Amino acid sequence: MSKQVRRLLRENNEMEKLLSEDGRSVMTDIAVYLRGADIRDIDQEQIRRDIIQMLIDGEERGVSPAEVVGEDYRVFCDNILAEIPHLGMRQKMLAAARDTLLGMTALIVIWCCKCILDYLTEGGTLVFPVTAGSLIAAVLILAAANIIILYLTHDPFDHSRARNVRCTVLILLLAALSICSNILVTVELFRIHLGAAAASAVILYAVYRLADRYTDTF
Amino acid sequence: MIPSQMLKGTLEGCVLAIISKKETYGYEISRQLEEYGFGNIAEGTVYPLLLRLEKNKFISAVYRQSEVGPKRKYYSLTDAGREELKTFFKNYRELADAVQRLEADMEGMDDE
Repeated sequence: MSKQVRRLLRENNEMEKLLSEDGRSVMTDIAVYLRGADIRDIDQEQIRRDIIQMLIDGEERGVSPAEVVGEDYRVFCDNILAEIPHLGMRQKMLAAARDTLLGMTALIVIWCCKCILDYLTEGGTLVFPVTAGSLIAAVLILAAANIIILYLTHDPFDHSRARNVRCTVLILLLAALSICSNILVTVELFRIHLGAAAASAVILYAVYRLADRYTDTF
Repeated sequence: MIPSQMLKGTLEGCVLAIISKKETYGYEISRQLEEYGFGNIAEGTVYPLLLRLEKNKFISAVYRQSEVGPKRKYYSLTDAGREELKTFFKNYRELADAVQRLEADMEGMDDE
């Protein structure tokens, strides 16, 4: 994320605080829907700024968000997205790879922390086994993160109980699958020194930063 | 009230015409459209049109401090926008003339 996007994100978060609770709730749904669209981060934040401004102006005049942007928030967002250039296949794949790199870095850091705890409590060497289960769990967690984001951004305007239940069941199911594979599949694939694992996390993070800088140029 | 399908093709040109009068912002545009008799058009309907006009470089936008609240986006016409507005009015006159001729012809048929 570029400095410009980060600055805009901060400004928008501050601006959003000026909205009433209702306005903020509508704005959250709109922002979640925009996050799921395959458009550039900078476009997302610029659109967000314009809509927050519209809603603030509307509240100054004493009118509801529905009166400002229309009753159907999804149609409003779709009309906006129709006017914004969408990312191409190559750009989408690069963005997905960038996010996966960050996810992998986070998982390795968590794994390293667990290894340090094991070392401190049980002693032994700093070389730890990597099991097929822990790799499957890592893949499942990364896939689950993407599935949950897709699910949440698909229709954030639907506040029905059924949707909330479906979402909770989905999260619990994916978490259970991940935990089970980690515990039950104990086949050892290789052993790695904690220092090497930490170094791989640093390298992955550096590649992520490069990818992030590159995707900012879209 | 003008049907939305009928408005669809002309609203973009009308928004351009309003911006040509003076630099203005979203809500003010929807208010002026209402004053001209286009009915109550939500700011949310005007905003995607503004994005399209900006994308086609017919208008440019700047953020200025408003009297109340945070910065507001003001739009003004570009040279390309002025040309587009001329084309819009020319096309609209052609359409209106054609519809008027048809209407006049229909009135003749009513008399028969």
